[in-house]
Amino acid sequence: MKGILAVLLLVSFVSPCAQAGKIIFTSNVPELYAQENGYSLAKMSAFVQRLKQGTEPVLFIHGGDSLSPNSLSVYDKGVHMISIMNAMMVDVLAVNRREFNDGIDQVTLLSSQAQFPMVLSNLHDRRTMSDVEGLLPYVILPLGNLKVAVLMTVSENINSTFLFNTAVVYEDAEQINRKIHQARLEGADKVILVTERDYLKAVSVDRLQGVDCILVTQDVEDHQIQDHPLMVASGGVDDEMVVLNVSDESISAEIVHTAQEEPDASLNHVISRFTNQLDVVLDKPLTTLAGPMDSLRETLRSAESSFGNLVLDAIRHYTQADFAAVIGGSMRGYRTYEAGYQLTRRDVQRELPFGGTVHVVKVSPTKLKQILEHGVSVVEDSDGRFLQVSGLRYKYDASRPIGQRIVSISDALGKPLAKAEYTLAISDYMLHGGDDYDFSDVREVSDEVSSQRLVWNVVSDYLEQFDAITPSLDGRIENLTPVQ
Amino acid sequence: MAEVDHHIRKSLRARITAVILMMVLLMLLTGALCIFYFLKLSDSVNRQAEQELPSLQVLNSVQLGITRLSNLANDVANSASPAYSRILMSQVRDEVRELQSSLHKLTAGNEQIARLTEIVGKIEPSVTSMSLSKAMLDQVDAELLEKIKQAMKLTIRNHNDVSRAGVELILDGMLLDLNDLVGVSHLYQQNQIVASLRKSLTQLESIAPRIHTELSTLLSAPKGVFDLLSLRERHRTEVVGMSTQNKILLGNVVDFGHRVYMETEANVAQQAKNLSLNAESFIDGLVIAFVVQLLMAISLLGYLHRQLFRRLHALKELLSFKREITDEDVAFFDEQNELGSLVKQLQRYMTTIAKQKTQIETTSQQLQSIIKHSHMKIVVLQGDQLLYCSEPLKQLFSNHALTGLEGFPENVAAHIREVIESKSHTYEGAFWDRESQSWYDITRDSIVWEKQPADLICFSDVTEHIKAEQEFKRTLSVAQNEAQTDSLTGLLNRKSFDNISVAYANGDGVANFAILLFDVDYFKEYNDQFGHLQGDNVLKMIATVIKRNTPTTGLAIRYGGEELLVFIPNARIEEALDIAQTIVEDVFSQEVPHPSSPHQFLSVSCGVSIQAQTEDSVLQVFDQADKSLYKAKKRGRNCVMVWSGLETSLL
Repeated sequence: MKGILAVLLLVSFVSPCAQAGKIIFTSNVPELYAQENGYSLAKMSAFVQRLKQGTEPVLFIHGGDSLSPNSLSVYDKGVHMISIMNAMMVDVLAVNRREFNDGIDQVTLLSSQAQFPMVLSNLHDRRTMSDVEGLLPYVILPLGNLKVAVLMTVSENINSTFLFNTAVVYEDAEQINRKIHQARLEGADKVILVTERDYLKAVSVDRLQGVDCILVTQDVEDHQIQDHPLMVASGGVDDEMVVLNVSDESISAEIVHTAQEEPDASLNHVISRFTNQLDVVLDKPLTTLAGPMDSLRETLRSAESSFGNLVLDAIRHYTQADFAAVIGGSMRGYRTYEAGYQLTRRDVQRELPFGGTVHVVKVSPTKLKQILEHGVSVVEDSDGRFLQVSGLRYKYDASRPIGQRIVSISDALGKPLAKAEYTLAISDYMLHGGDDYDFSDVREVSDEVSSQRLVWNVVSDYLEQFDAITPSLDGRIENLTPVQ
Repeated sequence: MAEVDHHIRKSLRARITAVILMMVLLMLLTGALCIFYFLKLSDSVNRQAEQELPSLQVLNSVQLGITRLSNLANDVANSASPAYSRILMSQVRDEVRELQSSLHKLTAGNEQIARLTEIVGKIEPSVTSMSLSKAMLDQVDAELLEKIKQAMKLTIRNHNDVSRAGVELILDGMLLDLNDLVGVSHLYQQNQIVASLRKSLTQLESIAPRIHTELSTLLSAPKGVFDLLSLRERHRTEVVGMSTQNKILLGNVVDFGHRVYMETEANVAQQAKNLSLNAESFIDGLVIAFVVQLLMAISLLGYLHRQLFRRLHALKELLSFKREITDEDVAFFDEQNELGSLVKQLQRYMTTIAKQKTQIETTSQQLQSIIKHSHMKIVVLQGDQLLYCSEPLKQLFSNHALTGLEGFPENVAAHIREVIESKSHTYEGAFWDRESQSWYDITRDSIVWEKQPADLICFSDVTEHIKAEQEFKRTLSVAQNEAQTDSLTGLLNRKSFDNISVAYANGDGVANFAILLFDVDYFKEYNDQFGHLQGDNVLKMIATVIKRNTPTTGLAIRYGGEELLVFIPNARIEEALDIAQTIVEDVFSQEVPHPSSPHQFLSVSCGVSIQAQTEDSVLQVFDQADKSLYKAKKRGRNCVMVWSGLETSLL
C-alpha cells in the first residue's frame, strides 16, 4: 500500500481544460529524522523537487505546525526548520499554532531567514493590534497563468496553548471574507485557505465566501473531507502529502505517498549540518525495555499509558514530589516499542519534543481534584490536556458533566488523600497556563535546581539508572465511562 | 565455699564496689566512645574539606566556564566583523582548554565527566568551523555589496547613454530592483527581486545586447550577484546549522555539568546529613549512657540508703537511746553484712556491760554495807554534800558537826578538797590528832553510792607507820654515816666523794665548788722509818688539822692512803687558797720530826682547783686539783699550787 507512489485517491473535479499547475501541501512535520512509517523530509523534498523540475508550474504550500517541537527546536527555536524549508523550496508557509511555541517575536525573527513568505490572516499582535511583524495576511503567488492567493487562519485557542493571550485572534467569517475579498481585488484567481479544524468549528465553512479550497492542517491520515468547496485534511509524521491539481475551472486533490522517493541528498545535507555532531549526545543508549511499551496518541490522551507512567515516575523521582501530573499532549512519539528495544536519548527527545521543564507546586486535595477535572474535561476529543500521573490514582467517567467527571482520587497505595497539602510536579507549560490550566492560585515550591533541567534530560537520567526497565500499567487511571 | 560466696554477695563493700566499678566502666566506655566518634568525625570532615568541597568548587567553575563558552559561541555566530570573530575564537579556545583542565582535575573514573569531556572536545572544532563559515559569509557579503554597487553604476551609466524608451524603462526597473536588493529584509523578497532581474536581463538580451552582456557579467555570470546570493545563502545555512548544533552541544554540556554538579552536591549534602545523623545518634547514645549512669547513681544512692544510711541512722538511734539490742534489731541489720556483724558484736558487748553493771551494783551495795558496819573512819561526799559519815569518824571529830565538807576543821576540809580536786589518791600525813597523838592519811576513791557517783574519803591512822618510818630513817642515817666515814681518820671516805660526784652529775649540788687535794710528803719514807702505826697517828693528826680548818659547809674526805681532800661548795678561789695555805702551814707547824724529808718536819703538799664553769664536773675539777698537787710536789712540796687555768684570776 505504502509502496505505491501513485494516485491513491483521485477526487475529480475533472474538467476538459488544461491544468494550470499543481499545489503540494503538508503540515505537522516537525520530525527531523526518517521514521519507520516512511516519513522522511528528504523524500518529501525529493518529491517536491521532482514535481518542480517538471513542465507544470508547482507551488509548495507548507501548512506549518512544524517549527517545533523536536530535539533541535528547544535549542534554536525553529531556525533549523526554516533552513530545511528553504531547501525544500517551500513557496509559502502558513503560520500555524506550533510556530508560536517560542512566542510572537521568534516568528518575526525567523520570517527574515525564510526564502518564502509566511502567512497568517486572522491573528494580531496584541501589542500593536496589527499583523505579526514579518508575516503577511495573505500572499498571492503565480501558478502558471493563474494567481493563487493563500490565507491562513488559526483557532482562538492558540491563546491558551502557545500565546497566553498575547495575541488577538479573529474567529469570524466577516474578517476572513474581507481578506479574501482584498486578495481577489488584487487579482487572485484562486483562493486557498489553510486552517485548523478548531477554526472551522467556530467559523462555519458555509459562511466563507470566495474560497476555492480549504486545506485543514491535521495530524491524521490524509483525506478529503468534502467536495465543495474542496476541503482536504493533511499532516502528520507520515509519508502522505496532498497534491492539488489546479486549473482555471477546477481544483482536485490527490493523496500521494513519498515513501518510495529517493531521498533528496541536498536536503539530507542541510539536515546533517544541524545534526552531524549530535550523535555523541543523542545516540547514548539509556536502558533496555524488558517489556513492550507504547506512546500512542489515543492512549496518552485518554488512559493510563506505559510510556506516560515511565515519564511521570521519572519526574516524580527527580522532584521528590508527592505526586506528578503532566499532560499527555507533551508526549509525541505516538508509537509502540517491542520488548528488548534499546532506548536512546534520541527516542526520549522524540517522545518529549517540547523539552520543557518541571516545577513543583503545593496543592490541596481540592485543587488537585480541580486539576484532574480539567484534565478530563475534553477527553472525548482526545485533547492533549489529559493528565498522565505518578504517585496517585484517579478514576473518571466522561459521561458525567464537565467538572464532575473525577469519580475518585487516592494515593499510589489506594488510600484517600488525608493531608491538607501535597507537592505536585507539573510542567512549565501547565504552570504558565497552557491548555487552560490554572495554577495562578497555588504556591510554587522554590527549587531552582529542579526547574532548570529539560524534561527529556530528567527522563533520560532516570532511565539511565536501570540496565533494563519494564514499562507497565498499574491502574493509575481508570476510565469508568460506560461503553455506548 | 558456697557460704563464702554468699557472704561476699551479701557484703556491702563488695556490692557498693561492684556498682561503683560498673559506673566507672560505663564512664570509661562513654569516654572511649566519645574519642572514637570524634576521631571519625574529624576524619569525615577532613575528607569533605579535602576532596568533596574542592571538586564542588571545580564543578562550579566548570559551570561558569560552560556558560561563558555558550555566550562566546553565540557571539561568534552573531559577530559583525572577521577580526572580532577571531578574537572571540581565541577566547573560545582558551575557555575550552580551561574547561578541559578543570574536568581533568575531577575524578577520572566518573563516567559522566568522561562524557562531558567528550562533548566539550567537540565544541571547539564546531565553533571553529562555524567561525570559518561566518568569515566566508562576511566575505561573500562584502563581495556581493561591491558587485551590486558596480551593477548599479553600470545601469546608471547605460541609462544615461541610452535614449531608447523601452531600454530606459527596463533599466529603471533594474536599478530599483538592485537598490531593493541591498536593503531587503525578507529572503523571499530577495528571490522575487532576483526573478525580476532575471526577467529584465532576458528582455535586454534582445533589445540591447551590449548592455545585456555587460550586466550579465556582473549579475548572472559565475561569481556574479546571483551566484553570490546563493553562495551567501549556503554559508548562512551553514552558520545557522552549526550555531544550532553548538547550542545543542553546549546545552547538553550545561545539563551534564549541572547534573554532575547536582550529584556531587547531593553527595556532599548526603555526607553532611550522614554526619549530622551520626552526631544525633551519638548524642542519643550519650544521653542514654548519661541516663543509665544517672539511674545507676540514683539506685546506688537508694541502695546505700536502704542498706547503709538507714541502718547507720538506726544504729545511731540504737546507740543513743536503747540500752539493749534485741534479736529483731540484729535481724534488721542483716547480720551477714558488715553492719550486721557490727551490731551483733555490739549486742554481745551490751549484754556483757549489762551483766557487769548488775555485778557492780551488787558489789557497791555490798561495799556500802561493809563500810557501814566497819570501824573505818570514812565519809562519802558528793561535791560538798555529805552522804555518809561513819561513827568512828564522827568520834574523831566529835567537836565538829559533820553535816558537810565545811563541817570539818578548816585545814582538813582543805586537804579533802585538794585530794578530790587533784584526783590524787592519798594525802599523806594530812591530819595530826593531838588528842590521840595520831597521824592520819586522807585517801580518796571514786565509788557508786546509792547508784550515784561519789567520793569515798578515808582517814587512816598512820601513826605507827610514821613512827616506824622515823625509826627506820634514823637507823638508816647511822648506817649511812658509818658507811661513808673513814674508820681511821673519822673523815668522810672515798664513797662519799663518789656520791658527791654522782649527785653533781645528776644536777644536784651547789655550784662553784672548790677541791683542795692534799698529799703527805715522803709518807712512804716516814712509814718505813717509824712504822705503820706511827704513820696512822700522823694521818689522824693531819685529819684533825684538816677537820679543824674545813668550814662547816665543806666536807673533809680521806680519798685514799695518804691523800686527803676538802670539798667546799660555793667557794671563792681566794677563800679556798686561804684554807689550803692554812692547812699546809698548820701541819708543818706541828713540827713532827721527819728526818728523811728535806723540810725536817712532816709536811703536806696541796693542789687546789675550783669549778670555774657550771658544766665542769667534779671529776674534772678533781683532776685539775690532782695536777696542781703534782705541780706542788715538783716545786719542792710543803706548798700550795692552784690549777693553772685559775692563776690569772688569782693574780
